[in-house]
Amino acid sequence: MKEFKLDNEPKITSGFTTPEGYFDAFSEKMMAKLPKEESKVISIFSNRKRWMFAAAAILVLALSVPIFNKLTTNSSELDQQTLEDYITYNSGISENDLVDLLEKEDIEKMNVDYNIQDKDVEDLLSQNNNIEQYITN
Amino acid sequence: MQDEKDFIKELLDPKTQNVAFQKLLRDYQKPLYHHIRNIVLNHDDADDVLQNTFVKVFQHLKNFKGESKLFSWMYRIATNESITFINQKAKRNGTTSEVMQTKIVDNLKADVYFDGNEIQIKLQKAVALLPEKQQLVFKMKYYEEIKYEEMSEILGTSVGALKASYHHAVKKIEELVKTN
Repeated sequence: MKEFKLDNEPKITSGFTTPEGYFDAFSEKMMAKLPKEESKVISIFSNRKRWMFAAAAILVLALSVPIFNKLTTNSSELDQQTLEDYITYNSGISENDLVDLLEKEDIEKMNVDYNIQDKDVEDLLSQNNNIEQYITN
Repeated sequence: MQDEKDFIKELLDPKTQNVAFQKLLRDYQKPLYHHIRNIVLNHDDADDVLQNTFVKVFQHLKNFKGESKLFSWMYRIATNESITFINQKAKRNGTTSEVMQTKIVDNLKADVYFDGNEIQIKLQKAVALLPEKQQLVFKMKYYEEIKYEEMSEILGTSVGALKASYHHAVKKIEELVKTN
């Protein structure tokens, strides 16, 4: 095959053609389409924006409900000291009434393990001067 | 450049928009069509992509900063739209864009909107075998006669790299045409 040099050839065009009157028709088509396209795009966008704001607001409100609850209950809750003072000075509640209110588990928790060894008892007793009196009595 | 800024203002102002857009279409629809057609090859596809291009231009005009020329900005949109289009079309058909483009070029004779002789078909076939970037550079330089400086602004590639690409493309094409 003979040498082919692009620069030596006469200009080769792409060969692509268009239907007759295509560009005029295209202009018309676009002119009819574009302003609508524009306003549509804007309205969809601003609507979407509005919805997103609404959704965000609802989300914030929903998320703040537990926080709000916590804040309000916290403020109305009595602190330990006030409660104890009230029970001690102002109420006719006896110790037995309180024990009745406690569950078995609670009572067990209240048990204090003193962990007293025999030796400690002996030491204590040997130091006590009145021990003989106690024994004889 | 000042003229272009005024023109963009006219395009954005609802009062002057219609006239300005008509001018935009008059000035750019033909070169953009051919740019797109050279990439997507088929008339109906080029028509679709050209519409999308103008819609995008219109939508994004308010964000156009004037950092580049309107011309290169529009070409950039058209190029991106065309490449996205052929990739999506290839994906839909379960093939690659290279295989699809070769197929279209092989059937160019049957295309009612193609009027070319043997050498034109040979050239199209050879171009379709080049890597994507070289194809683009070759088509823009040879078919569309866009200057390297403008091409550089459109494609974001240096003039030197574009010249090298074109040079490689021409060498390969001459080889392919010779052996075919």
